[in-house]
Amino acid sequence: MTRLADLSIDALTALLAGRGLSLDFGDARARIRSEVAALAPAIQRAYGEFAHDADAAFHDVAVRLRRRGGAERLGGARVELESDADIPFAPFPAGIHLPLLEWGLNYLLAQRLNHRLLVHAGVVELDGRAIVMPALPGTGKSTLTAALVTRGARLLSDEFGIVDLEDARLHPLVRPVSLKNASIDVMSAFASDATFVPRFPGTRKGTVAYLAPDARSYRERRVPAVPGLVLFPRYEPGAQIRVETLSKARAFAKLAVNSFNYEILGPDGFDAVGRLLQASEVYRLSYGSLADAIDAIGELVSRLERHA
Amino acid sequence: MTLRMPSKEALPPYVRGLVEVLADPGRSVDLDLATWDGVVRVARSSQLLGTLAARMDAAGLMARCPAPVRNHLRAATMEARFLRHMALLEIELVARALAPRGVPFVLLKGAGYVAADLPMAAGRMLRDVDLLVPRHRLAEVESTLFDAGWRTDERLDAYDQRYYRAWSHQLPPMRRADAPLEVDVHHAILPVTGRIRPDSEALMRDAIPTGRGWKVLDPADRVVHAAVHLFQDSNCTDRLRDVVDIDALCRDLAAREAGFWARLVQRAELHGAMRPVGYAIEFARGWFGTPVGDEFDAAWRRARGRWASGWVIRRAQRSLPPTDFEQGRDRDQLRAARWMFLRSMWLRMPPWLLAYHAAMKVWRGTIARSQRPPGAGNR
Repeated sequence: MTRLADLSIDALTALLAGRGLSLDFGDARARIRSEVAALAPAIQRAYGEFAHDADAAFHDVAVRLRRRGGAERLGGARVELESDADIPFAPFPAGIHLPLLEWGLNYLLAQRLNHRLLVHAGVVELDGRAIVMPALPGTGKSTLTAALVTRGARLLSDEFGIVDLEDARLHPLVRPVSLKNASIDVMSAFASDATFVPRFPGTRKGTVAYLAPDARSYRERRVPAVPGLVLFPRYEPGAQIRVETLSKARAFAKLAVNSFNYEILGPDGFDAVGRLLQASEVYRLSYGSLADAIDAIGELVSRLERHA
Repeated sequence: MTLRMPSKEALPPYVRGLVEVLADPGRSVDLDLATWDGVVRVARSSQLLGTLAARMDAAGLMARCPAPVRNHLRAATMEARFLRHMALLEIELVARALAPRGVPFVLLKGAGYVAADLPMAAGRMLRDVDLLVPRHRLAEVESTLFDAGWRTDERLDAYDQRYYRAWSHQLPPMRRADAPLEVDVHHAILPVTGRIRPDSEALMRDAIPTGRGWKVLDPADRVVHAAVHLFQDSNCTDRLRDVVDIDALCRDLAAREAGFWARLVQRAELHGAMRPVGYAIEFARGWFGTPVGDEFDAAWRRARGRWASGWVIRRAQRSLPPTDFEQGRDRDQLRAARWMFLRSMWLRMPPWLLAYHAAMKVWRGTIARSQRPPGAGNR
């Protein structure tokens, strides 16, 4: 199938305006439609390695971006996301189309995947083992996720740790990694050859940019990863790298609190967190430089393999 | 006299698939993935995905579902299980708060189905807990619940508050901090300004205790409530779930109680609600094949109007189904929905009051627009 990167903008625009672009993220499929022409080139960069699946009959989420005319006097033209007659957010300024799409998908998927435990976390796979980095404030999980991916780790998700309720394996939901404000410059300097989608200034989260998933992460989107590390990173400017063990009891509480649906799953959520932690080593990682953090994580993973 | 009755065949294809699988889960084995896509979307937006999952599960058909569909059904089952726990917790806390005062209360709708452990409660997506209390104790209930931690939405202004208290049949919805379900305290099952006034005292008096110790409506009153809620108190637009409820209530009760249909006639007449109950039963029968007792049909044939009933049924057939997400509503559906909206206003309050509220709505809309700062409202 043709990569979106090799499709003409006209063809992509026609897909978005017509029956919709069908994208497979791995653990979920989306159908995306848009009346906003500027979305096509943004999607082409953010999802360049993905292919449109014309034969997909079932989608877990269907969204449409619609123009809300300039008649909305203040603030000019706007764009709105609709899914099955539901409009989850007030309209965004017209230029913030890709962030609206990404946040809309996050919002909808977070409600619909209750057959799995959903931890708010970045997840990558390194040497066959999943590294789950819960999204606590100040962790820089998206930056660290992006950095690991540009150094060869497989991207599962920068937002959802999707834990299988049966065997605690991590399911991929491969989508662009969202970078905010200062981390955009950090990452552009760190990985100058990676594909970034240009900045969207003035969103509700400040300036946002996206790192496009690489070909391998997309190709292996259906391959779950065996638990390996549950890592609580902490970014401290200028700090030396420091790795500390963390008790699994403490980690349990942190994971449960950082889950989108721990409460909803009840006993199944309890079991899933337990299984994930049983199968993982748990560390706290303080870092001042991304390169040091990546080396330290590689070291932790290689030790895992000796034990396994 | 013949009326054109509601029919499943006249439903749009995207709704018909869901209706057929709900009525007979066995038909799901013939569905292709593209049809499932529509069925799951309509079921979710109609708050019926958990019900669909429960019926598929009860029929032992989960394993035969395509994997992506099964995932959504299992997800809905999880959510419904959680909401059921939360509803039971909320009811327990309400009961504890009201017990020292000796205020009687009766659980309505979904909370009642769950409290009574009815089979139809399986998979239900509960969003609120509805209670009926005696009108003369309403203020006492409100202050008691307030003291126990329930609050009304602080965004309600003085007009909203007055609307609820003077013209509606319930207090403004109340919620404990972070509780996922609201508590709606009613003193009647229809607005006090409306054309039909069900007998609230009879509803309270004849309520029956459940195994959990709380009270729920008499079985026939449950059907009356579901029916008047749909045909007197709503605009009859996108209300598939109410029809599903009425079918499930009638099937369950008719199977368990020999005199159910006669009792339903008696209660419907007592509440002056024979027509809305008749419409509701016709839609359940037309769409889901609900078996209806002869006693009921005879009474309904006497009660229904020659012209008016046909008018309502023809329009509700078009307005009750959910909107097609791909096409939107077609012209016939839009026109029917507009008529049913006007009808609901007409039934809910006398014209002078309607004119007053319509004027308030326009006026308040103007103020809201003039006060909205640029770019406001992003979540």
